[in-house]
Amino acid sequence: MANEKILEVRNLDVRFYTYAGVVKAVSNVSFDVYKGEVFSLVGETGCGKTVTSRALTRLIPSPGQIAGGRVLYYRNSEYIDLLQLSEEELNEIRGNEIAYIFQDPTASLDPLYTSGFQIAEGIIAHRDISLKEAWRKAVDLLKVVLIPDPEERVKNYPHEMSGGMKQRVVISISLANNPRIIIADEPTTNVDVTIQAQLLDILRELREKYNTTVILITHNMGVVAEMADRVAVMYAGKIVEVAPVFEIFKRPKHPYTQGLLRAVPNPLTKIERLAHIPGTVPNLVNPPPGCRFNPRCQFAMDICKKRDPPPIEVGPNHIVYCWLYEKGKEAES
Amino acid sequence: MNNTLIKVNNLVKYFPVRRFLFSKDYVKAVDDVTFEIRKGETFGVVGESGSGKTTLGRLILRLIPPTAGDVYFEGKNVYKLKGKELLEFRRKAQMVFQDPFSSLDPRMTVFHIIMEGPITHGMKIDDPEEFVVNLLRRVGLERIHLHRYPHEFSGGQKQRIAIARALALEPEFVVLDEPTSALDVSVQAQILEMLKDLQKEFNLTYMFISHDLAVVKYMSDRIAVMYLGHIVEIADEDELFEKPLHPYTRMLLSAIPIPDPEIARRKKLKEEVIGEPPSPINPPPGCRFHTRCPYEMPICRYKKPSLMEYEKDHYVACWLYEKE
Repeated sequence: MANEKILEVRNLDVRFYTYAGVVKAVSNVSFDVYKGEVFSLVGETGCGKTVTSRALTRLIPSPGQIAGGRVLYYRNSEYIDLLQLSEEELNEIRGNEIAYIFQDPTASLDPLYTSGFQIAEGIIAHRDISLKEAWRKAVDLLKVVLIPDPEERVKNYPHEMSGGMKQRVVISISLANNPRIIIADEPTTNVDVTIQAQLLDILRELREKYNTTVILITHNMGVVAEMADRVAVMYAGKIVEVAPVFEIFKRPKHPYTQGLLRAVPNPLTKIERLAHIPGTVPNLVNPPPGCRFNPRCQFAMDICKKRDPPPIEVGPNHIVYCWLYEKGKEAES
Repeated sequence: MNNTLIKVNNLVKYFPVRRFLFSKDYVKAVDDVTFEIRKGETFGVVGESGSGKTTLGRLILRLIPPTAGDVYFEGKNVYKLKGKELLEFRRKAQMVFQDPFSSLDPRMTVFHIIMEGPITHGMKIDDPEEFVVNLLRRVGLERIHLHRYPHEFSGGQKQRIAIARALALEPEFVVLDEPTSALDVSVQAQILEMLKDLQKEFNLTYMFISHDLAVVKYMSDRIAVMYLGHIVEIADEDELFEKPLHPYTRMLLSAIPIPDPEIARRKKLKEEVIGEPPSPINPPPGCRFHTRCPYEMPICRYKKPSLMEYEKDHYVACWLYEKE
């Protein structure tokens, strides 16, 4: 894999100002994404993975606000901070260079327009071509995502299609302008396993063919194992561990990652007991001080309750945010 | 073997859907299904959405009337039960639903939710409060939760309450309909472990319905695979994964993502996963899987294969395995 950076996220902070208080949905999140890789953000409900992915192009609805950080996007050997761009400049990038695939295809498609029109719409917004040409391109795109009989399917409205079909249309919309980055937020969560396998195959092929960078957000460890090159595990609004996929599964370091992996039943092995993580996810209005995992962590030390763990390199490209791996921890605590 | 708890004979359920003004079509949700559930086992039912697995669970508990066929519980026909006997069946056979947000009444406290069943059935309980607290402890909740309302709980806790409600009636048989699919994996693991412990403690028989093959395998002794209202294969849990016979089972198995990157990337060559399940309204004739099956033969298109015992305790409904 070429080590050419395409996205550099630094200290991203997203807050939601609600009546119950300020929800610190994403705090101090930093990671890099390299060109051509599948970078996966995993975590459970409410860990901030979706918010992080949307913050990358400032798609955070009110009452949410990006409170700080930088999202550096590399192109033509220079970089721009996506968080500093004007709305017009950003619109040039959204859907063109950085495209999204959202979780629920029924909500992503407009029920009043045909699938062909919705694909063509995205092309016309960014290119100077006629609707007729864009329509032809839509047919080609439906072929790419393996929809049978695409000439007829472009005339279909969303309600005439199954969930799997709709998600294929959404994927083809994201592909319409040959984006450099596709951000896929739980693209297969609402479909059956056999459809999921087909959609993942399509994403894999596209990425090989066009060398597209994919940021894959999911809660499914199986999908991560099949698709990702590198993985960032999130917990309660923070990244706890970043590593290549084989490292994450073979040598998970953070107690949360370890617990998460042991809680997933593997259908190919005989499991006597599933391990589980005791307790529940903390409230992000008043997150626990120090490491946010400390109330549920069996290895919690004094320092974990006081200070945020720094990123610690524990192997090649393997970073963990945990005091257990800090060399001089005894002296400090 | 006389340890059969539930026997299902040629069970059928069609739901009518109005098409045009006078014509009617039917969703063939469950179509001619026959199997047994043994005492003390966990019988897993796996299938994709629309395969009829939930309908099957509801039919067995007589929550909906069947179109045809019978269900026997401890040798008695469930659909012919009346009066006291029916009430007794309603107590012995319980259900835990998929969505704990809608299966608990938001206007009742935990205490009332759990006591509603025992009161209806006139169970003699000396100290209701102690009774409920004991149940709550068994499912990992505490006395402080007694007088709270459902909205004060997380999804996992709600599912614990739903389980406690089922246990309050001292059931023998519990249908678990996707009990963990609304939950996160770490919570799912807690609930699954608890269900296994409770099964041992109370000698329960489970019917475990799920779309997640890994979870079904982890929980079940035997597994039935459903496709569009038919059972296509029944086998012991390890047998089904090691020697799947039906092409659909094989397709399902190669479609599940394995949480291990080495295996996940090696397995690519197995069964190719193609097509989408057709609509259960007017499903394809013959074997319902023939439209997606790589081994389709002429006979598959018009004649339904019946479920037959291919090897001991391994049933399959597929013309490929028909002996003559």
